[in-house]
Amino acid sequence: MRRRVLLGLMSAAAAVAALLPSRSARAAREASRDTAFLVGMTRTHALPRFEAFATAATAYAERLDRFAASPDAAGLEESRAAHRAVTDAWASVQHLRPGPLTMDLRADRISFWPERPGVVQRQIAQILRDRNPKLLEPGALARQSAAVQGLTVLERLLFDENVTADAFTGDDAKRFRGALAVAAARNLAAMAADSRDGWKALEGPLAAGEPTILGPTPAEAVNTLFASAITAMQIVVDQKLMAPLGTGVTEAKPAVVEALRSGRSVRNIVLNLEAMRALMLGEADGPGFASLLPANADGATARQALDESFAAAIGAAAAIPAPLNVAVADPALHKKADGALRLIKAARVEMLGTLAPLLEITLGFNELDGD
Amino acid sequence: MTLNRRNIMGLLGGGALGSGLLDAFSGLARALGAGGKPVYLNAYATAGATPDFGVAGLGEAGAVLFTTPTPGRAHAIEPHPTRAEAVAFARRPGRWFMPLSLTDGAPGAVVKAPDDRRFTGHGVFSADGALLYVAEDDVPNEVGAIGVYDANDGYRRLGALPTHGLGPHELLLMADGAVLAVANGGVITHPDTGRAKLNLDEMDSSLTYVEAATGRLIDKARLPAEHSNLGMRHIALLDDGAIAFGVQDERPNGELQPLTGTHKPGGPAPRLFDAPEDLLITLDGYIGSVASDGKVLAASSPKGGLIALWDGASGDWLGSTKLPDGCGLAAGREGFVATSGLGVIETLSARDAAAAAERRTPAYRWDNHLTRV
Repeated sequence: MRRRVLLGLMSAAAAVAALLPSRSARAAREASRDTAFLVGMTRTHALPRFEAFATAATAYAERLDRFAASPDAAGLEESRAAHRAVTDAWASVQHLRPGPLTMDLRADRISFWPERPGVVQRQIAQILRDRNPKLLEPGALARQSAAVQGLTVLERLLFDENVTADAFTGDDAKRFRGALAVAAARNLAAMAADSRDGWKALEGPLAAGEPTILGPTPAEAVNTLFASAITAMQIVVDQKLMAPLGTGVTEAKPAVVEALRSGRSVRNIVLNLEAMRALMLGEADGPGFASLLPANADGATARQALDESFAAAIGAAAAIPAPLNVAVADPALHKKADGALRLIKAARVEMLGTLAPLLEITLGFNELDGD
Repeated sequence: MTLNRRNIMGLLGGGALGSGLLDAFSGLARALGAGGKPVYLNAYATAGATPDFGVAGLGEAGAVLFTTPTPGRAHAIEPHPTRAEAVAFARRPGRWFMPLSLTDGAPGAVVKAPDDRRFTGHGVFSADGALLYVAEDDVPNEVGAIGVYDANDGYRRLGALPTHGLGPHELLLMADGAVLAVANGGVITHPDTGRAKLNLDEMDSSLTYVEAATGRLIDKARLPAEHSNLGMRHIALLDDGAIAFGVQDERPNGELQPLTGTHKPGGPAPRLFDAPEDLLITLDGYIGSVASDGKVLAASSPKGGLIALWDGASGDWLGSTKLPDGCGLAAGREGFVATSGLGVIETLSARDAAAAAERRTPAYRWDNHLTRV
């Protein structure tokens, strides 16, 4: 079968251009500015974040390895801390949806969320019952259902109710639990490293203005990244907040929050928003989308409006004083979470209504949310 | 007396309203000042950061004849076979569908989905127009279903048929009028988690053929295992009785894969259409809409900003044209008509997809599906 990414790409732009009448949707931004943004963003935003993710995942696998060899209470706590660190790192790259994370269902295999009711629980219980040693072999878990991989299975193994170090000590079943956690963490570390390597491999072609998995031209890669940032905001709004909030405190659905067992639902939202702000405004002296704004008063106003709206949204989310599953079921905190939701929506409107037109990015909706 | 649809039906003698009568009826509507008859229907969002949603009737050359607000974002629109009426379906996960008059766009009473069902965005009338079949998810049982509604009694729900598949999306009526063809995308969603796809790792897409009278499964076709990551979601009918389909790659693995094909009920496994490598790269693993003039399969990729045509019988690729965020597709009087999320309405040659005419309606972002009345 033909490779979508590796083959054919060098010729694709020229061939497609020859094949088709050229009618662009956008007024042309300068290609050199798009390329500078793509290269700079990859270097200062995507790569350091994926590097941190890969490093945290490797550290987690190593920590679990030691814990499974001699489980004790301190080791479990350290392993849980390592799990939280990986969850943080994941929440900091989750918005970079296009590109390497789309390959081989990586995003789902890293974190299978939102969940199909009952399925994850059932599949993990089955694996723990069967104790098939073949599943622990290198690469074996990667071929299983996404429901039993990555943070999804690890969170259950380490954070399920009543889990203590004893759950990993003693008979075959308990030792299998530890060994499964190690295998899952190694698989997670491999996916994180592959994602990082995928971004590394993008640097050269992006710098050369070549077609990549992000788009056939620099302009389209910029568009893809922007559209996916809008989608990532929509996920925070729809799935991370509106779904658990329901229509009111009595209709709340605490069980659908992200990272329920490890209690990271609010923190994940804050980290998602901080990552998105960094992508919009730049970080570590690198460019964000704002670097593509026109160098005039409109551009300056847009940058400031974006900065302020993200600051308000992040502040409001960070001020939710409990994990979201607790907050949505409490009248006062439900209101607080609802307030944060409104400010996050406002930041999204700022991206769509202020930034996009000034960047000459015209967003149709068909590409945002296919059907 | 106020002239409304029912009165006009009475004036015209009611009963079976043939196409000749329909024209006469539309002529009457024009005489009444409704601004001519719509030839196409498309759901829209108004341009801007906080859009309004509705459906529009479009004239032959793309003029917007009427707009009708909908309770939320609409997806497909299906005209009634005999009455000057259409039904707009909510976008997935849909909680409503809404009839509207094709005379002046006046909305009818919104029909709500049962609590345990979510509409998936498409529906089709029986040949005589008495029944409306609506694709839906049976939420608690995680299976596809077809809601059956009485179109002669205010769209009263009569019951449901199984699709014998997962995650149904588009359905159509085969030429014999007795069998429904259903594209089951294979992906499960749940109202608690909105549009999130919950089983991508074990998705199970199929084309099923369901006897409309009984719900009996006539035939079921899946893509070969190496393409199990492709979900068949959109279908169109060819003159030779085959179903043309377009797929979406739900689980990209880096392989270039075919995105269109055909299948005949009772026939061998689906046949997949080849295409130039560069074209497949540009289509980006995503077909958003398909249409057919009976012979040619047209498929749109809003992600790739491209519309491509294949010969439905030989499977030969005929040509493509760029249409950024283009998705809506319908066979026109000549060639195909396409609409885009950037407000473009375009006519293409059925021979090689060359763009013939283009109209811009920047106030509207045209949603996924264009329907010819």
